[in-house]
Amino acid sequence: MKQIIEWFFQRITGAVLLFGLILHFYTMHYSGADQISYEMVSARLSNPYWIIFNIIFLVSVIYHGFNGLLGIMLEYVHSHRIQKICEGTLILVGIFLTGVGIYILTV
Amino acid sequence: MRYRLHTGSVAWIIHRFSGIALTLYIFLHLYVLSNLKDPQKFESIMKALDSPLIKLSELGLLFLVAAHSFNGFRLTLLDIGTPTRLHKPLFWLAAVICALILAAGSWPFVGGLH
Repeated sequence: MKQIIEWFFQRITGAVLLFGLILHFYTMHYSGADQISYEMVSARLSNPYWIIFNIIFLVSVIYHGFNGLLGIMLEYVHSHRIQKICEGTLILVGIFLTGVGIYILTV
Repeated sequence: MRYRLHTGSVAWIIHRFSGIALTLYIFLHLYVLSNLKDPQKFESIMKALDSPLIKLSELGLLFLVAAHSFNGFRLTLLDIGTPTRLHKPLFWLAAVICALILAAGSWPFVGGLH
């Protein structure tokens, strides 16, 4: 059951990332020059819609990336104990990065 | 033992390596963004990143993202039971979409906007 849920979330976050990245790239690279200046970035970060988008985007990318890494690790590591250590480490790093990301979002 | 290269195994290699690279890129991306706390440092880093070499690597990043996205979409289609005879055509469809995105993306990256 756990694996089915992980598979499902990997697809859901994948879809979120595909649509999110289209919006991300469009905003950054196709909406006129200087979208990455401090003023423009901090203006976006003070908009609640962008904050919600960024948090969903952040959580999705970290889940998708680290769950993907875990999947790769489990293919090469067969000891159940080391698999658990891998999982725990990736969860901790993921939570840490999410914290860093949310800290950055609160400019 | 030799590894046999065909569309499926090439897609597997690309997906695996782009996935690892993109996950590592999260660290780099968040590190650069953490400089938003200091506006002057952020502007100076953005200026430093405005170089041809960085633009070229951004194009590489776009390749990784596009390849991983559309191969991931293809994998989801395979998971939900797409017939085997469509697996190869779907690979080439994903490759064509990826190439089109790279072509479209290289304009603002290399051309000028940003």
